[in-house]
Amino acid sequence: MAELKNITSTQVLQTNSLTADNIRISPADNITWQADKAVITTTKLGQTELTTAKSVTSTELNTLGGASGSIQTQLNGKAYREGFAVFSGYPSSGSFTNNGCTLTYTSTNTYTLTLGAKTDYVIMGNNDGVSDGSNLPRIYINYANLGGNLWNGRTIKIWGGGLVLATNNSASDTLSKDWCVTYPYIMSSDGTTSKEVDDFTMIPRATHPKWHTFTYVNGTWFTGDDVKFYLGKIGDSTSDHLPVKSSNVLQRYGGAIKIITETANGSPDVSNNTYYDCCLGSNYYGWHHPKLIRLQHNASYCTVHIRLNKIPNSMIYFSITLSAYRSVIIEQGTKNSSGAYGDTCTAVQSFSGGTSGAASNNHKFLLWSDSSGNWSWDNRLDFKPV
Amino acid sequence: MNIVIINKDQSDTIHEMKKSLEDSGVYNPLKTIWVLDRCTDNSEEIAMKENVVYIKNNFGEDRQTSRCRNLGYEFVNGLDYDDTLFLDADRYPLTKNLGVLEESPFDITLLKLEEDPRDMLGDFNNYYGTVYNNFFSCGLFIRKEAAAVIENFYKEHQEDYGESIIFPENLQQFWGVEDTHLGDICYHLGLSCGINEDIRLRGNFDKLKLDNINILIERFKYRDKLNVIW
Repeated sequence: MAELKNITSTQVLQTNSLTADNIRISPADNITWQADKAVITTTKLGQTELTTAKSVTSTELNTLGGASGSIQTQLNGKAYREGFAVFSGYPSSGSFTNNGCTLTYTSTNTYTLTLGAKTDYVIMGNNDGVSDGSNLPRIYINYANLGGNLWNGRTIKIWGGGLVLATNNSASDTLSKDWCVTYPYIMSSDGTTSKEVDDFTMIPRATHPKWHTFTYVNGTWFTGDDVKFYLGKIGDSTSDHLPVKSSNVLQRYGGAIKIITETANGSPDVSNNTYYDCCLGSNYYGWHHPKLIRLQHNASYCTVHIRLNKIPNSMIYFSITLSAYRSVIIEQGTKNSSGAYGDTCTAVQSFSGGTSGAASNNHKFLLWSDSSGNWSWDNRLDFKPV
Repeated sequence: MNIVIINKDQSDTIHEMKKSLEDSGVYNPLKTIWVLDRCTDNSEEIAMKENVVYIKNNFGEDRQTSRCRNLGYEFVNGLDYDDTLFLDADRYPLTKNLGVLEESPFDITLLKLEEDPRDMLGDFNNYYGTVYNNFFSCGLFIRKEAAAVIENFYKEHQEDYGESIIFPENLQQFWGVEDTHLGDICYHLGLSCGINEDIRLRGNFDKLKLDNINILIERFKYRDKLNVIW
């Protein structure tokens, strides 16, 4: 059914789906309906003015990017927005620099990408999807300038059909010139074996190129079109259990949920049976303020509930670090009939800190939400359904 | 809105197109994509100089207009799903009012050229003479909801349309037919279509060159499978 509104004298409507019953026209529009023909004409000229669309201003761009002040990011040399680097083309020599990121030509069809400290997201285009085995673009990630978890949550989005995203300085391929890969794959650091990401399949060269999204989470590159939002960046789990301290890092890890059991300094931050609403906001790709949760050092037991809103197409990552002789039970449940949480929870997984060592037992978890906002566990990390 | 511009060796129009979009207030660098179709001129150089986002299609020997429009559509909508305006590189808007498209009441709105005699008001019981039967895609604005309907149609008819997304790639080698068959599909799907008379694109309109019966037969092969009253 078509709903008509704001029809001007200068527009002509044609559709095969209109009948007198399914058209809604307000009297003020002064539009006549010719019942014997499926044609609508206006009889009063200039009755309705169309609204000119908002122009894209620098202010709106800033809002879009969540940045303040002037626009800072660049598109191959010109300003765009902070935290966001775009490379529309590959350099034929030298390098492109964009918002602290650098894409450097290494050799034929080979490039090195060096991320800037504040870059959350990189977009690269111009792999046309018809590259063959002798002409397969390879993009190497330069880890040199960033250490540890500063890589966490970084997303690279690459347009193309055939490409290799490698993590070190050597890669080889045996692809036929008549085929290209649908999903990029990541070469291991020694360049001798490949770690396939999702479905690694060969397709005819004519097939459309596509977007390929990679998100780095604690040492692992995740890929898939469903990585649209990355929520819950987490600090360094090996840094003596301390919460993220640097204000810069706090910004980088906006949206973090950090659960620290048995804090090293013993200062309790929460009491038993505390509830935390994980209100992952919708501002700027769902980023929100960090949630840092530390549990009481010497509690005999301590329960923390994290309540997740329904958020579509999102991901939450968290980890639990255990010392020796400590254990954790993960439960999940839903609201009961009175709206309270917790009493319908059931155990879904348990872990032990072992019998030796301190803070050596780290477990990582992922949760995904579908298009309806319903959450489910991802068993690619430590979570294994029982 | 997202904007897709296909460019076949038309480097001299990139600046004018960008300026025109800016003047209309609809230009957003990451929502506007130039698709360079096997260009042999300096289009890529100019695109970089103008600092626009572009992708390249190096595939194919025949016409690749539908493929390029589809690739551009997938590129921009993969970043930010939105209504999409399709333009040809040399048909840049002469008027500064593209923003009015945001208020268009139609699922699909067609734009006119400078001198363009097409009115195409017709009786819907007579398909001949309607917008659908004279569809043209050098200036086409499509609502994202309508685009989703068309995408789904192609997915259900992959044996005929292959990887088509919005424009039928199976007919792209025939000038004028890929457009009109998209009109057939829109009619079949019950999508509303209209013409905006206020926006004018550069260039003039020549009579559709559809007098080649062999080309028409190619279109009819697919149209006859649709619910289109002739």
